[in-house]
Amino acid sequence: MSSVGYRHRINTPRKTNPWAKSYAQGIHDIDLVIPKSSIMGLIGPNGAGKTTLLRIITGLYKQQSGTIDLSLAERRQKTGFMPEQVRWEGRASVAESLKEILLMNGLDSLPEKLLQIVGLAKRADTPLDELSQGMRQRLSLACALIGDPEILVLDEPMNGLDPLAQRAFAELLRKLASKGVAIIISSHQVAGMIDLVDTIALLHRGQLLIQGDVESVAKKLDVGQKIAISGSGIPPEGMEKDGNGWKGVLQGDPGELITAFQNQGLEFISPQPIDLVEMITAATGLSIEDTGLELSSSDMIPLKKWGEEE
Amino acid sequence: MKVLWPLLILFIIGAAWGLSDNNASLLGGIEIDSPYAVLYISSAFILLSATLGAVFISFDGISRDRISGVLEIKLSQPISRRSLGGSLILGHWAAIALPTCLLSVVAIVIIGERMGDYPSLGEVALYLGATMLVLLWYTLIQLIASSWADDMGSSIALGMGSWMLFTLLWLLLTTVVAGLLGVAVDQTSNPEWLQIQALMDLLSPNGLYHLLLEIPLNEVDRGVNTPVVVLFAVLWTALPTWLLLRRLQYLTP
Repeated sequence: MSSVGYRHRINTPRKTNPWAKSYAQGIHDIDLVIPKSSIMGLIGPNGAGKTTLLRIITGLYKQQSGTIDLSLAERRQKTGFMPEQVRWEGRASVAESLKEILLMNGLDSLPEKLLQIVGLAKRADTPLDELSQGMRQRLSLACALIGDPEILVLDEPMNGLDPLAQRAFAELLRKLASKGVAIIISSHQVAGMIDLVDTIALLHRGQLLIQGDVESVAKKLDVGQKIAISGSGIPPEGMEKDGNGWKGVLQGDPGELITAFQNQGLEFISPQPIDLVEMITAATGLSIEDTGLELSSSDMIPLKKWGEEE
Repeated sequence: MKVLWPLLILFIIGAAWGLSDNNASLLGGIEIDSPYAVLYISSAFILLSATLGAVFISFDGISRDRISGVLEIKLSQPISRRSLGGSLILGHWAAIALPTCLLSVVAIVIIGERMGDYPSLGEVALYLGATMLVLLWYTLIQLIASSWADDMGSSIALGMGSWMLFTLLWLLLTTVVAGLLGVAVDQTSNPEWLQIQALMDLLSPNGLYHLLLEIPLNEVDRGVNTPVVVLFAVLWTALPTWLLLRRLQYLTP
């Protein structure tokens, strides 16, 4: 897509006109390339325009300016969309709800594998009212996977999933990407995203600030690889005291750091993952509090095998 | 539907049973002298039960999905908005039309057996056709209202509000219009009043339903020609359908 813009209208009731509407911020001049066989993380502070952009990609909104290679109908055909927090409710069962979506895709039989993939095989006949939030998320994912989409768009997919399910979900996404599916994922839980995504697109105030693979973006924003080091004895300059020794986090080449600190009691050196929050704050100038990002991590739970039922 | 079945049985079957009694008499000296007259009068009970059923089934037909977020999933599917709209209309309408149709057929059998005379096939077709149409109009009105509603409260308000307007308040509105036009409203047999009432009925699904059912009744003449009634029936079907499909075309979650 190139130079894509969209501004939706929102209710702004006034005393003289309770039905008054005005244009929201929307998104402007978005040039975005969605590569095949990769997972793109769409990140940005609250209100950056992530959901609006995702809705344009899925064909829910028609762009008001700019061009997209796929038409609206083609986007709906080729895209699987998992919106944020769908509250499935009613007496209909999981299978019945999926069949309704299947019919909208011109399909008539529910593939058993679909329910297995999302871990709902044993819940096919469960009424929607009895599903937990995590199961509702899985059902939304199943809807997104219907029709073997070429592009998978996921808006805050980790919400409501327990850490175990988050790990299984990440594995599933990697598997789909390896099969050629282009995946775009928007999430506030950025701590876990760095290990999941191949490329990132950073959105702020409706504008795409930067796009590329994680390392190159980090380099451009000067928030590259960080190394945690610790040692014993008197803390060298810039290091903080830690019990009987010292510790600190530095940016630089591991070899150079070892050389620089080897005579100062250096005992431990560990590369740290690139920090997406740091990237966002560096690119937008906002503080962490202002971004509204969640920094939770799910690294405490052991990895489950893909497709395994919980 | 669990709530609606007893309501529909009570009103449709109950009305047919009661009104087909040889000793039945109505206020105002209205005579029930034929099976079709029973059907015509029992149509009032359709308006009190089946149309309410259409409201219950359709008032949140779109807003519920919008509130829960499911609408976002449905709108992003490859199905065209026109087809989606068609299936919405058909699904919601059939949910109330099929039980009503079934019970109406049972009611016709009851009337025929109790009176020893059945309405003609043409009368049955008109009665069932008009009943299905009024349910379709209510379904369309409710779905349009539901597409505007942003929450469950406004869904209920719009749904019940429109039903009450046409079922309970329309006569009041007609009286106000007649009063503004200088027509005496204290004489219900006044031809001017009857004509204004008939013209106002063209603008209400309930009134138009009765005008359609009055077509075979030679003794009833409210000054509106049959082609006009048919034209308004077509308009009441086509315009809301077009409006709903257009709403769906541009609907956003």
